[in-house]
Amino acid sequence: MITFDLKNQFKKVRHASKRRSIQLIISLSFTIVAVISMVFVTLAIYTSYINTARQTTIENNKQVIDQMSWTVNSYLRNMMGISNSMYYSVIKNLDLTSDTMNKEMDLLYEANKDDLISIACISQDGALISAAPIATRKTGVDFTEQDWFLSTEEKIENFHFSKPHVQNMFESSNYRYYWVVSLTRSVDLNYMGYTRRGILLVDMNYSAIEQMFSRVNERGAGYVYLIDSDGDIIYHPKQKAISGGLLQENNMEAVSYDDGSHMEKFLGEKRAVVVKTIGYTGWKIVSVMPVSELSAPFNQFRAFMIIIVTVSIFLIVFGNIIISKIVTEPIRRLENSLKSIEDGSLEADEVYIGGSHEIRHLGRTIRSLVLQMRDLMDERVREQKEKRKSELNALQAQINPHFLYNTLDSVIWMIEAEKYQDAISMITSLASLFRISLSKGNNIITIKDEITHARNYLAIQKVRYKNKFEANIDIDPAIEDCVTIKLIIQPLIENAIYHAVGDLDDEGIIDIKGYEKDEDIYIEVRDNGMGIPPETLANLLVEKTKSGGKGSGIGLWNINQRINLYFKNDYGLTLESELDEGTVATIHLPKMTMDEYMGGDGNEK
Amino acid sequence: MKNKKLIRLFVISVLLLLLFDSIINFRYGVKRKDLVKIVFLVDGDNPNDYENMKAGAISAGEDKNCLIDFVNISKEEATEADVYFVVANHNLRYYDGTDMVDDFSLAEDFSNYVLANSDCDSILLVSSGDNKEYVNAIEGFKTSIIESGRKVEYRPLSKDVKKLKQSMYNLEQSGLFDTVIALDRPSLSAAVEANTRINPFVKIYGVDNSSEAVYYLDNGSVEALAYKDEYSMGYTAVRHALKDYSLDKIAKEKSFYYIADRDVLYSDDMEMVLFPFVK
Repeated sequence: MITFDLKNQFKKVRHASKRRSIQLIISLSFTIVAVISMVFVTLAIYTSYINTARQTTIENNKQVIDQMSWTVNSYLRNMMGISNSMYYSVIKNLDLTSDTMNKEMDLLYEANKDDLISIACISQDGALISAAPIATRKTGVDFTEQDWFLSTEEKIENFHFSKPHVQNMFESSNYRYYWVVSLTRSVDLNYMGYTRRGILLVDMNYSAIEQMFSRVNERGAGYVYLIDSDGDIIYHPKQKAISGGLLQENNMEAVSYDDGSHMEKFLGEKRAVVVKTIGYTGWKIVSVMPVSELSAPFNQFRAFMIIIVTVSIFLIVFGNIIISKIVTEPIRRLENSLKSIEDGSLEADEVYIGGSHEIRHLGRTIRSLVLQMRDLMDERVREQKEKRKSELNALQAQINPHFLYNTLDSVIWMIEAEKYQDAISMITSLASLFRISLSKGNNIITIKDEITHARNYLAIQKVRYKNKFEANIDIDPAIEDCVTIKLIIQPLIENAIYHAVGDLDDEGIIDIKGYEKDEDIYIEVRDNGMGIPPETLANLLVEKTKSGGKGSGIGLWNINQRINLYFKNDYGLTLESELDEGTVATIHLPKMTMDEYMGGDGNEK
Repeated sequence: MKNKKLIRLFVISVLLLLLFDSIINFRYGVKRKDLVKIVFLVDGDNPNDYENMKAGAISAGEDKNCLIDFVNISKEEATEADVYFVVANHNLRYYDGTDMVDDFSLAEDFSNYVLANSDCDSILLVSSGDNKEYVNAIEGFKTSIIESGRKVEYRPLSKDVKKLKQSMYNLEQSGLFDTVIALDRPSLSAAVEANTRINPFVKIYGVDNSSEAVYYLDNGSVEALAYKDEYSMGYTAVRHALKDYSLDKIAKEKSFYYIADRDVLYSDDMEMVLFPFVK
């Protein structure tokens, strides 16, 4: 269920993203820019801070090591001072046979016993000349086999510092064994006026060195150890573990480092190493700080930065969504308004106007357009209604029962009078009349058809009126195929018959003329009747003016109105009349063929 | 509808954000390391007997926020700890229930050394008290010595110092044995003292690495010592307790005991194990 829903949601999101709405573009682009900027800045600050902090830690380490170096150096110098003091103040000035050497040695030992385990003077052949505090050599101990003895004999001009070892040369009444670092030097011994070589041994209490380094190693972060010039460990906080094979140290590599800070990788761990050489001895103090411990204090900072970044991204994303929603809401509402318009709703009041100035302007413009559209459509509807109404009127007029009755009466009379040909002719004319009247429902027919309709009407009326008048039809053949509205000539003829020539005795003339002029078509229906008084003439083209009692009832207004409706107000019906002379009704139409009309050209006109 | 969706999305995002930030804070935040309390339950009343093991344990636990304590086994129920190690007769029971030092192997190797380095015929094994912890060692000694065709006898002596010394004196005076292997410190001290007084021809060996034993070895009172590397035992045990399993393999392969005589007493390796730093 949940999977299905997720799929649907994913599809919706994909669909929404494809649509690329303004809100999506705005929120996405701002989010991306803001997030990238923020991440970049955060990374830069974080990296810079971490590097600076690391460097600071390393520098602090260096300072500690420098301090340690000074302390150890000072201690060793002190020891060398004791050795010098013993040699130059005592040994050089005294003969070996004198007792004073022992006393002096004891005094010197007592003065420095916190740092010393023993002092001894040994002859070149390994005989113990003097020692403090214990002057008895342990049974079985041969001084000449000791490492310190051999290295001193090898280079007599230098001080020698041994590796830490357990002092095992002198008898001891207790079970205590001391770790010492032996400082030795070659000395000149005076023996009854002769100079003999010997060795002055100063056993420094190793615990002094051990305490110095233990204090530093209590800091907790990393550790410090001490190696000699061969890389052998003198002090290491985990020396026993190393010698027991439980731990490894990179001391052999460290001895090759110059003084300063280095980065090394040992047993898969990256470490920051600071090395400092202690002057005379060649010993090196090595400080080791695992890089992970360097970073440990900054873990909280890192967590803080990550949290800040994630919260900021969260705020940016949602802030952008909300702000873009606020910004694009008016656009969306305006879009919805347009959709309603698309769907056919032309309510101008429903067009949304709101939001920023530009959106409000758009809304107002759209509303105005909607109003204009509605007005135009209303006008169009009104025109169509008028058209239909006029056509309906014209059509209804064609089914004028009086005309039909009279015509049929005439036919009956002709049949009764055995004037069958006349009857046939009249029925034929009537049929043709009605056929063209209907014109299969078309309102636009050719002038030819309209004239045929007029001819049929005239034929019927001439019979009815017993040829009281003459009708002449003169239509320019060039215009016969042009279009006209149906039922516009016949009503004029009808009017001419009823109101002009119908009452004349054989003198009535109706002339129907059609011609082209100035690229338009004119059809005149002229009669020589009594004419129309001016006041009546003025009102003839006014709506709802009906012909008095007779005729089809299609008013001249109807004819003019239909022409205006189909062909605009540039065209129409005009009347001219002179009293006692006659009347001319002129139909003005655009010149266009049926094809032109159907092709849309007529619609323009 | 859309607003409801947005609100729902907002709530879910907040929850995810909180979850993510909690994870980050847990992983990278200030880590108050949980204190791990490790207790070594030891026999004997003198906790200084296990000073080497304690030094190794403390060294292993440095910078790891752990508390290490050595407590007499009788106080086990009153002690609360995260990890317990049982130590009996200077032998530590490892996490898998095995003793870190196989007393039988130690005894076998030591007896082989004794047999190879001395012309002994009759060997006396002594201990102060009849401690069942010596059973494996005695078995190891006996097996090896009997196989070589020599005589061997075990005598558990009194724990009382006076009686112990007297018994030891009597035994050495009897002349029945030419070699004594003392299985603990009191019996070793008694054997050395008795030997000094009467019969310097009895060779004494000991299973001990106390400073007295080392002194005896150094001054020739004792021929050789077999001893357990308690520092390494304590170190390894604590590393395992702190979930550093890198030493488990080493622990399986390492023997955790040594045999030292005067020739190697002051060698670099032996020095480090036998001689603690004295402040």
